[in-house]
Amino acid sequence: MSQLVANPGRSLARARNRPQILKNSLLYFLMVLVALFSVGPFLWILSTSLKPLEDDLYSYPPKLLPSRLSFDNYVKVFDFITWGNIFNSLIIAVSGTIINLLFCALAAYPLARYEFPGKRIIMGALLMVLMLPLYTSLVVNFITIKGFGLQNSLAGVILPTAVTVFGIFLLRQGYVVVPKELEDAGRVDGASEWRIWWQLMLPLIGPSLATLGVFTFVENWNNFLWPLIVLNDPDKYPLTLALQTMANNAFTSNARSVAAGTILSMLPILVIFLAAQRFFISGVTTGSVKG
Amino acid sequence: MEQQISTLSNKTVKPTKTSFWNITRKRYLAAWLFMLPALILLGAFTFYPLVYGIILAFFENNLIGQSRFVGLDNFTRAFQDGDFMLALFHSGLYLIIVPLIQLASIGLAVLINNKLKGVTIFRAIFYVPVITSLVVAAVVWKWIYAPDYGLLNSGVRWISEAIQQTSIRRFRGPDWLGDANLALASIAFVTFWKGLGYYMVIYLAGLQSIPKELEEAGRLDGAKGWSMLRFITIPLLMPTVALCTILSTIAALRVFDEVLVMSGGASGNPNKSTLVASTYIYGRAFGAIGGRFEFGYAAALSLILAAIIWVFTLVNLRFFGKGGLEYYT
Repeated sequence: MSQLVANPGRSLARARNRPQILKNSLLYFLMVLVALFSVGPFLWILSTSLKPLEDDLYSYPPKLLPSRLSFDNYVKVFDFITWGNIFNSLIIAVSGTIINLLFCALAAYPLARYEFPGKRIIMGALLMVLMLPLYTSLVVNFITIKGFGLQNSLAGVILPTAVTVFGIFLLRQGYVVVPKELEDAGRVDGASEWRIWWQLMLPLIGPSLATLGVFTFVENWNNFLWPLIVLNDPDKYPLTLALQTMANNAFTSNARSVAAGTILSMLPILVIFLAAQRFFISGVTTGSVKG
Repeated sequence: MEQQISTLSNKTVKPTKTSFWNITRKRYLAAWLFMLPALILLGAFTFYPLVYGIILAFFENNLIGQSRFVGLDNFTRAFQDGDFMLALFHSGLYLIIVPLIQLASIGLAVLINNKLKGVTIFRAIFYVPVITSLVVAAVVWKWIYAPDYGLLNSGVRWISEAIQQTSIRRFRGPDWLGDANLALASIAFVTFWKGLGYYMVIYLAGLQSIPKELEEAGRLDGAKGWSMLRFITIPLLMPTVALCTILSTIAALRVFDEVLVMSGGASGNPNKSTLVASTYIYGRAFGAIGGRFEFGYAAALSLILAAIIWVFTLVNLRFFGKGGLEYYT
């Protein structure tokens, strides 16, 4: 108090800041509310997954926190899912991501930097695919995959979405902004088209590649419907399908294991997302908003 | 500047006519070689299904037997198919979330656009539902919606006990997913929850691309707070609103995964109340509805749905004027 009297200028500044502080705390309050709405359900599952057997899951009022931390559920969940499921998910996500990055990076390059006959037709066809929502692809792709004898194989899961039109457009944006002078410098040095792409262009679109990489990984890891159609052998199921099967069969009796499985299946996605958060979120808009 | 450089380098190299042709031909070839792997895969799994799907719609095809040309039979059958019409009606109802999600995500984007400490952390948190798989979302929300022990009904019970000032012994809250009147709305809420962060990010980019000078000019004219939002921000945000409305309309009409997973199959439990167009098409194609593969019929239904989506997109474009189609160009 004495300090305030001693320094009237400072107290004035504080009084002026009061509405600002009030406004900011209101904003924080709102953000915390929305954050609870967004991740509250997951926190609840996390809490459930850590509850020991003696905790009643169905009590009223619900217990928000476990009475003690127990990891039993994370052991027991392996009665329902196997390391094989996790391995399948990784194969699908990693190989799907590598193929998509490589093939899109190749295809987007001439579409961004070259003028050649047929370019307009290709661009038009790709745009049409983006805009035409057709369901028949599910049916026809199933027939195709069956025809190739890839039914019930991981390759059959990966191939249909291995190259995405979205990816080509996203990477094309990355190439378009590279200055022409750089490319010309490479040409004057007599580098081949291949080397210009590999040594000059590819490193320059790193951020776009990172964005697409995270996107593709998340999408492939989460993919549910297509694997459900293609695979019928539970040993070949990725984690999402194993989780779905387990949740449908044993939900009421094994809610704890389901909770643990849910958290396990979210973990890789969360880690990758948090690591690449900056790229990922700006990538949503690079791909979408005119740039 | 670029022009100058290229003419300069042309002069110094002095290409003869033949070497010029060689270079361009080499680059044409290179262009196609670069695109070849992607085009093969896209051709097989994206373009071919597009074309073949259209042809399939005029055939009776069950994968095992012979395919038979049936002309427009699949289409006439579709328009007499009461369940398909019901499914389309439900898909139409689903459109209610389009305006709701715009309002909520614009509000969220405005909130997150404030320069506050830790705002990026909140932005990331708001995005988490977008990246989680539907299976996970379904597990989580089934739990919340569970009639007796679910979080939602626990909350309902807590509030009603607070109002009545007594503890209710045998509480029965709504069965959110089991009641035919509530099931579709409950599932739509999950779609809303999962989509919010996605549109928030697009709106945030829209907000940040509004030129500072315009906001400054508005401020000089005495606009602040609400009038700023109403007369400066929202009008300048209209292209983004158009884009997001078009995207979410398409998404709502195509809604599939959450309905399939949360209602436990394609048959629209309970009592066909969650039958939507895409689950019905899927059910017909793969035998979950009708008990046999009907690829031809499903293809015809897909074309009808695609036509409906096109009409809605055109209406949106008309309504918002230009803006939407600039999306990918």
